[in-house]
Formats: sequence, C-alpha cells, structure tokens
Amino acid sequence: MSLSVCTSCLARLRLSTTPATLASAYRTSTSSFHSSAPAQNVVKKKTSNVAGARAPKLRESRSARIKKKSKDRPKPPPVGQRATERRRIVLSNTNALPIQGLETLKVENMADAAKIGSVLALDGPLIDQLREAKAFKTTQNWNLFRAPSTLVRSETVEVGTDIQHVNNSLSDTAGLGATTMRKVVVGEKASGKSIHLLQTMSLAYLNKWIVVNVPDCKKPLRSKMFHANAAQVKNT
Amino acid sequence: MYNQPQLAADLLSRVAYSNTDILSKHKPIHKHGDKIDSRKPKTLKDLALIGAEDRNLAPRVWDAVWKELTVPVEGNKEKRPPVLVAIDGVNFWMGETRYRSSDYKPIHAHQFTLISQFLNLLFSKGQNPLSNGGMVMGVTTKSNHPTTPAFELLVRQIHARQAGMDLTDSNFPLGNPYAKMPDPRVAQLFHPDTQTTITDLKGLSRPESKGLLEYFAKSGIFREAVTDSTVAEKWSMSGGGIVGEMCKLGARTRLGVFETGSREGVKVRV
Repeated sequence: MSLSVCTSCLARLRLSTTPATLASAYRTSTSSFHSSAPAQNVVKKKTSNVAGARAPKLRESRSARIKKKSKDRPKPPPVGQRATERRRIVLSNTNALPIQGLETLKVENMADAAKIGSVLALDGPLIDQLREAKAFKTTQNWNLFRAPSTLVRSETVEVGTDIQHVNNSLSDTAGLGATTMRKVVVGEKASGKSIHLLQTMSLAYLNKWIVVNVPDCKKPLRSKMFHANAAQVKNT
Repeated sequence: MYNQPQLAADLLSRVAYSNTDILSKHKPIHKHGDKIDSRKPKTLKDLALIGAEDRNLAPRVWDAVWKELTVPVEGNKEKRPPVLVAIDGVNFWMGETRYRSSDYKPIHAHQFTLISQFLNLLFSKGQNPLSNGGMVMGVTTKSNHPTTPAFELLVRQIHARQAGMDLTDSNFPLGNPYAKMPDPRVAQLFHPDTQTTITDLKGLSRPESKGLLEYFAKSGIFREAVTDSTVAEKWSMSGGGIVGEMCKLGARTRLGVFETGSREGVKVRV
C-alpha cells in the first residue's frame, strides 16, 4: 500500500508551539534582512486631477472610448474585373522585335513537309476567327511575341494532309463519298495538344470549313454558373 | 438525357461569329418547327443567332443548325461545307458530373445531349458520320484533370487497334483485373472496327526545336546564340523537347552552372 503523504514532507513538519490562529495568518510578515517598511495592505482612493471627472458609479462601465479612425482602404475592383483581366487574351507584345520575312500559314503550304521546323504567321482575318471561336488560351505565350505565329511540326503537316484528303473526297464522286476523320490527341503535359487543335482549326478556317469549337470541357460540368441554370430534362 | 441551354447558346454564338462569312452564304433548307421558323431566318448565321440570343431556345436551335449542316436534301444543289468539331479536354467528359438528378444520383457526363452527340461523332461505329465530310478532333488535357482509368484504357485499346493488334492478342490491353469495374458508359465507346485514330504528341525533334528557338531569338526574347549545342542543351533540359518546357527555357528561365565546388556542373534555376 502506498503512502498518501510524502515521507520527506513529514520529516520537515515541525510542531508549532503557538497555536495557529486566523490572526497569525493575516499578520503582515516582515523579513529580518530587509530594511524597507512593510507594504500596507490599504487601498488608496484614486485621486484624479481632471476637472469634471467623477468616481464611477456602481457597475458603471468605464471603458475607454476611442474614436475610430477612418482607414483609407483601396476599393476592390468591381465584380468581374479581375476575372476578365485574368482571362484576357493578349496576342501582341510591342517590345518584341518584328520578324522580317515570316511566311504566313496558307492552304498552299499546309501539307508541305519542307515547312516542318519553321514558324509560320497567322493571318489577320484568321486571328479574328480564332478569337471568336475562343481558340487562344492565356497559357500559350502569345503575349511574348509581336504577332501570333505557330511552329509547324510533323503532326501539323499530317493534319494538313488529312484535310486535303477530306477535300479531295468531296469532289471524288466515284469513291466512298465525303470522308470524316476522327482523332483523339493525347500526350504529356505541355506537349502542345491545345496548340495542335488550334493549328487544326486554323487550317479548317483557311479551307473554308465550318468550325464548331468546344474550348473548355470542364466548364459545363463544374462551374457554379452553369449550376445556377441547371440542366433541363430534354422533352423531345 | 439532359439539355444544357447555356452551353448550347455559347456554342451557337461561337459558331455564328467565327464562321460568319460561310454561314451567311447558306440558306436554311429544312423545317424546324414553328418556334424557329416563325423568326424566318434568312441565312444559317441568322438561325444560329436565334439560339445565341435566346438561351431557352438554344438546344432546339443547335439541333436545327446541326441538321442544316449535316443532313442533305434530295435534289438540292447547294453543297454544305465540311465541318470540324474541335473539343479541348475530352477526358473531362469521361466521368460523373457535379449535377444531380431528381433522385439525387450523380449525372454522368454522357447523359448530356451535346456531350453525347460530340462523343458519338468522335467514337461512332459508322464510316462517315458527317455527310459533307470533315474532322472530329478531341484533345485531352493534363492540367488539373480527373482520373479516368476507363478512358485511358479506351485510348490504349484504340491505339492497339490502330497498330493492327488483334482483339485476341495476348498483349491487347484489357485493364487491371483487380481494379473497380471501369465506367461502362466510357467502355461502350470502344468497338473493334473503330475509325478513331490516336495522335500521341511527343517532344519536338531537333530541327523543330531549332526552328522554335530561332523564332524566340529573332523576337529578341532568347539571348543566346542558337547553335546545335544550345539546341541540344535546351532539348534535353525540356524533357526531350516538350514544347511547353522548351518555350519556358526560351523565354523566361535562365540556367546557371556551378563552375567549382561540390556541385560542379549542376545546373540550377537562377
């Protein structure tokens, strides 16, 4: 069984000769080695020199009342402004040098394998069309250069050849008829997939095709904006 | 099936304004019901704009525009142009959405009319779903993308078929047998005689990299001499010519070399 009292404490315990009373407990203690007078346990009345000030009444609140300074905070921009700035498509940079003798992307050179590795400029009206179709994205470095232009890769030429193939199938009455090409483009992050789509769209516009573009697939599925106009059950 | 009026209206507005010249030349030849015909659209652009301006009418108008573009009329001499359907981020369409049905069950992306229409075009069985010819291109996105094992399997299967692999081949991709059942709606998109092709974009080749860096240098952005050795260096630093990384190296990122010390020769971002 363990002791509930510490034995060393018990050893130090001395029996007092004087009986412990309430008065002895409240007596101010002085230490013999100290010269200063013992502090009196008396609460002094507060004296205030301020004219008109009075003692607080019972339970009166006396908290300091500091006037609030009006802070000059800059106003946040109007709703939607920051979003538009974030999504703004900048297609030109006047600090970048204009490049002399840059060829433009045309129907004639779209399937030319000799053009692989060269950068071709996009034509003015074509840029307008791509802009309307929301083909440009903010992450594609358009804002670094003087005018939008694009690198011809081997895959670009492949698409150009495919478009030619479809065009030929239209006039070819003996064949199977109009061809539909179907492609899924995969690749690593930043491997130029969206730019590949943009190039395909440019070639389609140049060939007078009709382009139906879905620039962002996640928007209709996740955006709150679309939740507000919730999907309707099709009646037909 | 569910309609998305706002999506249809946005789509119609993009189609109408970006193809103004061509759509203004073509006149509607089909009948589309009183709600649309009463507006008497003179051209296909007018027709598309009806939906672009009125959201509630947009799904119906989209059906009308699509019919005009793809369904020919016997004896009509007017030829419609080919159509390119461009979809950026198809992998987002390969799972359940945040929408809920009235039973509070998640709605699958393929239950939306527009999405299922486009996916049918991209993966359909028939030879030529677009009667006037054209192209359907779906591009995947790797930024902030959802995990879609069923779609990745679909891509691998189509890739295998494209390479001429037989369905009974032991190497034909069938997915992980111990994983959860793949999304049946996505798995349905595959069929053995698929006409879809996969374009796997890899890094740029050396000549392409050189052309790109020269373009950066001519614009005054890339400040080094474009030699074979710099091209080789940037090509390696960009993970084998990944074009987005290459653009970063050409434009913003500067690399430094520790000439001496324990990290001698290590390249770091400065």
